[in-house]
Amino acid sequence: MIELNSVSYKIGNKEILKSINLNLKKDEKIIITGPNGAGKSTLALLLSGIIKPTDGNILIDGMDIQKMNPISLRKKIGIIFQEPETQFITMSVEREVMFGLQNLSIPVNEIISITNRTLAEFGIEHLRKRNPFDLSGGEKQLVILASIYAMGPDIIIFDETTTFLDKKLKKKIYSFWQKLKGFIVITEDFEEFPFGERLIVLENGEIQFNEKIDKLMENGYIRTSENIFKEELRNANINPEFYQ
Amino acid sequence: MISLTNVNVSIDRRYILKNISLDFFEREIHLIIGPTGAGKTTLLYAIKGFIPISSGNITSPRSDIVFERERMGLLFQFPEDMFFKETVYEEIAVGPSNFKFKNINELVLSALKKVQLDESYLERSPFSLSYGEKRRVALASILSFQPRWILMDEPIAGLDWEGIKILKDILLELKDECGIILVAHRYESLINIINRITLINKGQLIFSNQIHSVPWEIIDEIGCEIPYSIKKAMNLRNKGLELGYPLTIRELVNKIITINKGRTK
Repeated sequence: MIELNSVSYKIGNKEILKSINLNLKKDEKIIITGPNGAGKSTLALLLSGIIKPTDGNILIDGMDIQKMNPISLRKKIGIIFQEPETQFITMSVEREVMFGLQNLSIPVNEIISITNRTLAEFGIEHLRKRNPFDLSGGEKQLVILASIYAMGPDIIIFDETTTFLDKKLKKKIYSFWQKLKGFIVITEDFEEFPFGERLIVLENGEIQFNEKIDKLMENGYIRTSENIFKEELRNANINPEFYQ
Repeated sequence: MISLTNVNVSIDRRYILKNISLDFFEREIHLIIGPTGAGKTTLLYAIKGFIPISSGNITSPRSDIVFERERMGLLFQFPEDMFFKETVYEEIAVGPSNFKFKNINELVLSALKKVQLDESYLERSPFSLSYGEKRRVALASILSFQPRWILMDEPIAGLDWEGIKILKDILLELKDECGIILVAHRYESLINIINRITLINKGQLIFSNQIHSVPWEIIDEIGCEIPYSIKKAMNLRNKGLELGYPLTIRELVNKIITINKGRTK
């Protein structure tokens, strides 16, 4: 369980997040959305402990994340950004996956077997000796995903992870989302909302909306292409059921 | 016009682009698509001359490619990579001062206006801007030297709906002055302003067609996204309903409405 208690974040006089209160369950699939500049990425950085709230606190399983050591924090929470290059540390794909595991002080033989299994699971075994910086944008994203997943965090935050991916890679990420019990996905893509269970809308640093997604889908609140198509047909007095 | 003839690019004996022959035209918005790793960004860099080609030719038949390349503005995937000045004004002024234009002030202001930002931005640090604003400033820093070609790598990724709408307005206006070449995989929201689509896969050219003669099935088979309305029309075609290839949901719905009217008569 992640609890945010009156969390604010300021840069100078500018309030990026304004006294946010929020409870996030680990086994819930959470979608966070909102326009550019709403504070979404700041929220992700706060949740992953990379930046510190100006006011308020964030608790994971009752512990203040600012007081946790980085290694136990990484076991609780992993984050994947939009720009994978910012997260590379080593010069080969397999080392990239091993790096996080080494920090968790896992025995060497286990590190090797976890690495092999993870590379296979993400279909990137053939890239293992390649330099991560030389890979295509989508492949880079998979390498980061694999290296975070290998560490087995309780919850993974995806900060606009699919923005630069093509359809095939997106499908890989989507099927990965379906396998997970819970996640926090930050996205502006309506088509990704149905993968979640709860939708949180941020605007101007405040939570505008926090509701279960299935209800929103039913009443057409979420403007996926499918919903827009159905609505336009209904407006023309045509039953959308005929065109499914 | 810019013409690529049998262009090959290889790095460490690995082919990134294989035998690409392709034309780009002024006053067109030309979209390049392809799966991750297809060579889209490499193609863009080769056109600009950022990376050497291993063989083949890139020419401008009625002009000089060196001249055309000088007047080519390339917008990278991550705009903050391009910033190195302290204020938005200085950032936008780099291009025109490199070209030794005399009316720098005027060019900066007009570029800023084109990307729909007001003058209060001029003294701000480019690094303090939001993602969408950074994109617009990066674009303004290209527009300020009055390019003949604009090359953009994933210009819509990361933009919200408002940002996309603004970008569309800007592109439509720019089309009258220059040739625009875009690399994008999520292009649905731009579809009704695109003139030509080129698909590449594994470094090879699959097709380069005008928007109304695009073989959408091929794009779909290769695993790239196609607009919802076209996908829907394909599914309905399998059920015996012929709706063509509507580019937008509006177009699709209008076709269905027309069919329904025909039935009620």
